[in-house]
Amino acid sequence: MSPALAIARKDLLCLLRDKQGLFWALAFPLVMALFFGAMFGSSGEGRGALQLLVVDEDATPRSRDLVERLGRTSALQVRAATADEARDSVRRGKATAALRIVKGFGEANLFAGGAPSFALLVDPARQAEAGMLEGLLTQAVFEGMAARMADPAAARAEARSAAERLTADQGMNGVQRAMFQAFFAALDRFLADLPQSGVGDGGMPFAGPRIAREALARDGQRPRSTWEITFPQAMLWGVLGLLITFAVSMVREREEGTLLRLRIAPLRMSQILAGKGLAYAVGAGAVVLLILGLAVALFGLRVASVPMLAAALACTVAAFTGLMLLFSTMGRTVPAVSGAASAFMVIASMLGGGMIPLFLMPAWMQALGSVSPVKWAILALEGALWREFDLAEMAAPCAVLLAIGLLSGIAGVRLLRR
Amino acid sequence: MLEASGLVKRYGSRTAVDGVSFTVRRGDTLGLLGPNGAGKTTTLQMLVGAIAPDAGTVRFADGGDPGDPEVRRRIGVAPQTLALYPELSAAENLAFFASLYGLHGARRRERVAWCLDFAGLSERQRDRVATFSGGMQRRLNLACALVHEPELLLLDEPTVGVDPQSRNHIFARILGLRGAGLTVLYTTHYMEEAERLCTRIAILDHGRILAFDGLDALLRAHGGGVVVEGELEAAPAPGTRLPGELDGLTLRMRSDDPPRTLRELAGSGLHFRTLRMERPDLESVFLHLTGRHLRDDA
Repeated sequence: MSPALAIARKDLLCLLRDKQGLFWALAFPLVMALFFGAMFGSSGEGRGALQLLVVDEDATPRSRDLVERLGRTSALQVRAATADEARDSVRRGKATAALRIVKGFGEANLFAGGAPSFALLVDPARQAEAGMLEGLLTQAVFEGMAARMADPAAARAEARSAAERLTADQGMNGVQRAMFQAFFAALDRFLADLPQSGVGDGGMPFAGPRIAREALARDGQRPRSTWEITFPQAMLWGVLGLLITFAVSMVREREEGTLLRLRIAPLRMSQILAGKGLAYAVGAGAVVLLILGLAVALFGLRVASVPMLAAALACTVAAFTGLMLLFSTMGRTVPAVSGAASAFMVIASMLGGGMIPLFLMPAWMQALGSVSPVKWAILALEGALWREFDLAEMAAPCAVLLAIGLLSGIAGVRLLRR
Repeated sequence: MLEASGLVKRYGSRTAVDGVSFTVRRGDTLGLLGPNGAGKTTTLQMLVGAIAPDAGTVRFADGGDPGDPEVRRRIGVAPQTLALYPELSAAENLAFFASLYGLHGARRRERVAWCLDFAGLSERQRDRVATFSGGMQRRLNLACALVHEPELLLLDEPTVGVDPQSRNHIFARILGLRGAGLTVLYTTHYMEEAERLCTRIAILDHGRILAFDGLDALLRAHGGGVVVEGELEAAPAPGTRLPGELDGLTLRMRSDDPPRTLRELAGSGLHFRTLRMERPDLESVFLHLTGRHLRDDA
């Protein structure tokens, strides 16, 4: 057995007998993955939908049609409620918002004012979603209007009613009245010429833009469950936990004199570092595979491509092996190195989506996350697991990870040799 | 076997080792004796190439450099700190260090067994080092330096913090190694250890060697003679010239030849009722050379 292999074997043996180190590398990430996965709901369906309570004071076919349209929106989970129940639920944070459809909504004319009125109550902690909610509401109202316009007989009746109301309006001057009367007369003729069976939603000139949602690229390219988000995070927590354990083990060797024994043995420094790096790489790879195995066996995690996963794993382990060597030089005492590595772990995880998924963060945080190796590692792992990355897509995160590993490894080796 | 010449090591403005030179001959047990901070460990680490000297050289018999792996294979070092892996067993520690020196298979098993016996730990070989007493760990620390059968053994304060039983065990083992012809360099601040174990002794203080010779030669040169103290049968006559200090009837003096001194006093009519003689030791030598007691500094 070569000296580097002997050092790697010894370090792995020490790790296996270090219960605390094993806890942080294996048990803790698993607990976190299970906790967050369960907390955010294991199924992908309905995840992220806003809870909207509807108080229908109008109770007309039009108001019921509006509620039905809102319920068809995947971004909303709609439930009927009384006014008191709705207010109480929003105040307690049990629902995101409450919508009150005011009486008279169903009688409002399409062409003559009397715009539908609503009262919207939004959880103060969810103000960011208020604008989105108003947009969805407006969309549902306009879809209802477009449907009414698709029925020429109903549209003609509304147009005539609007014309009569305008004629009776004494506040309008003669020129305006003449223009509106000419407009409604032309509209009536237009509607009369349309087939009376209806023209469908898309046949009317008043219909809004039709937006067709398309899949991003390939079928199934979205997480099927929160486990597919939390387990790659857990793998990174395992890798980072081991990073601290191994960085500290280097400085412990120095403090306890065993590094002196290694340095006076007939070895080159490069062999010592190779042994250390190999032990970390094997340990980190084993931790990731163990977590992955559990996730696949018990939580149905997909592996879209085994070769891509192997590449993602290799690059991730390479990046963090280099970082481990660098962090082992970040102090001459165990508390100093442990503190530096722990601070790195927290910041890199926070910025890189190791704690909260990046897509839930503001744009500037997502941009800042690019400095964190955790972001690239998670991207590479997700790319192999469910994003279905092809070779070109996998090349970018892998290249960044390899560059991080190489640069930090060179810096670490140079500092250790001093 | 080993020649250190003009070794200097500075840490900032402090000079830890200041021009140390000595030669270790094959079969020697050479002691580096000095108080804490005298520069013993720094000197030892320069000898094995663990730290680079600011000046001076270290050469082995065949001209080898301590940085050369082939030279390192011939040296064993037991550091002052317990350089062991507490999570591993005694046998695993020995096997690991043996593998660093290229020992494998049956040869390694044989050496590990020998070292366990040497350290008196054969029955505890599978126990983790973390469960060992300080004395047991110290013995294993020494055994790990011997697992690859070095020609030169460097021991840095090998008995610090051990119980008397383990200390005696270590002394017996080192005397055994000396008897077997192993060359040993031994640093200590215990003069008793240097006196008992070492064939030649270098007295080190503030990074410098103050004296370097065999024990008897050092005592003769710097010990200041035998202390003779006794109670006189009667007070000496007024005006009698005395070779020492008189306190009541107790006379205390130093002599290079106590029998002759006592005969001369008897010729002058001075006879002792009780008599005690105290041989000079390395403490006296250190006191003579530095004006300080070794024990005070240690």
